[in-house]
Amino acid sequence: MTIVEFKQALREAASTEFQDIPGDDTRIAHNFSPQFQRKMDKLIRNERSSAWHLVNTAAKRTAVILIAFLTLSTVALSVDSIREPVVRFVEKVLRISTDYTFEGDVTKSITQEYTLGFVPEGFELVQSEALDGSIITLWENTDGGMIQYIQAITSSSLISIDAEHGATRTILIDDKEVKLFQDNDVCIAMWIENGYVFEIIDNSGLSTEDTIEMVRSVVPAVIGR
Amino acid sequence: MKLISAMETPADIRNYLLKATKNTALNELKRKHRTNLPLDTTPDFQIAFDLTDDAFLEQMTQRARYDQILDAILGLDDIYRDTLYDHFVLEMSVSQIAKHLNRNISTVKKQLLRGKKLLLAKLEQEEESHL
Repeated sequence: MTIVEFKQALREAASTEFQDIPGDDTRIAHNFSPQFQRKMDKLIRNERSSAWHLVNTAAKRTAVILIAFLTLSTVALSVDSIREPVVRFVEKVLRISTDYTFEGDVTKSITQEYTLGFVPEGFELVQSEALDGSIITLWENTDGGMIQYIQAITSSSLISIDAEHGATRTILIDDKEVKLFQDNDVCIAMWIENGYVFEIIDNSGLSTEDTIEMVRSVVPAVIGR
Repeated sequence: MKLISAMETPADIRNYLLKATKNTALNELKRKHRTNLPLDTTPDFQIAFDLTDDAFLEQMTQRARYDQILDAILGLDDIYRDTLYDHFVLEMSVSQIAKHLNRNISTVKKQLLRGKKLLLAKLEQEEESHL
């Protein structure tokens, strides 16, 4: 008897313990439960993630959560709030007009210009002017109808709406509270967004749908002035 | 991975992996049920003398046939058979065996020595019964 045979005998004896276990998956007549399959699929997916080695044990996960919490706490304590500014209308109803001023996180200058992404067909841009605290853009059609779009700061603006000859209602457009004024000649949409007050003034008789579409289309300008 | 790539036959790789899987599963079960098992489950008897691998192999190869040795190995308790297999076939170190079988290093050392002794004792008994 040789050492090789002794090793072979050990190998054969060791193999007897697992001789009933099939060598290939297809011969294993067992269906795992959907819950187990989902768990395994999730585990396999997670293991492919590059961050898996950081969260593959309970201790590491706890450490990551703790670090994230500490980081967020530190950031929250050390920098200004990154929430959107909250500005509210202050409405003052007078005998012949309703005046609007603003309170809250009012803006004192325009640091980000917003433009209209949609203007109804037939209108051409005729003017765009940046004044002190506001930007006014004007479109005109061949019938003399005009659309005026205004972006203004809220710290010193006062908007006065004719209360005698028209009606004002408030509607929600994509979570924006928009004040819609309508009289025989003009339609004004006014709302607050990102600390600025915006107005779209139309005297061409556009439909409310067109006005709403314009309000929805306001986007940050890519290139500043 | 180094260990696996050094293994001689697919049977060794299969045995190694299945044994590792079995031990991991048992450990997990023990952990879940919070069962505290003694680390050394080997019988407590005195080891009268040391037995080197060379001396053991010399005695084995001199006195027994293949089928006798196979019977003797199969007659051994799992704990000794696994240790001897890891040591002589897979050529693992004591610390590697301890890790693979989830046992203490000192336990593996004792089991290795006792396994060799028990195997020789079994073969001796076998020979005597034939006389």
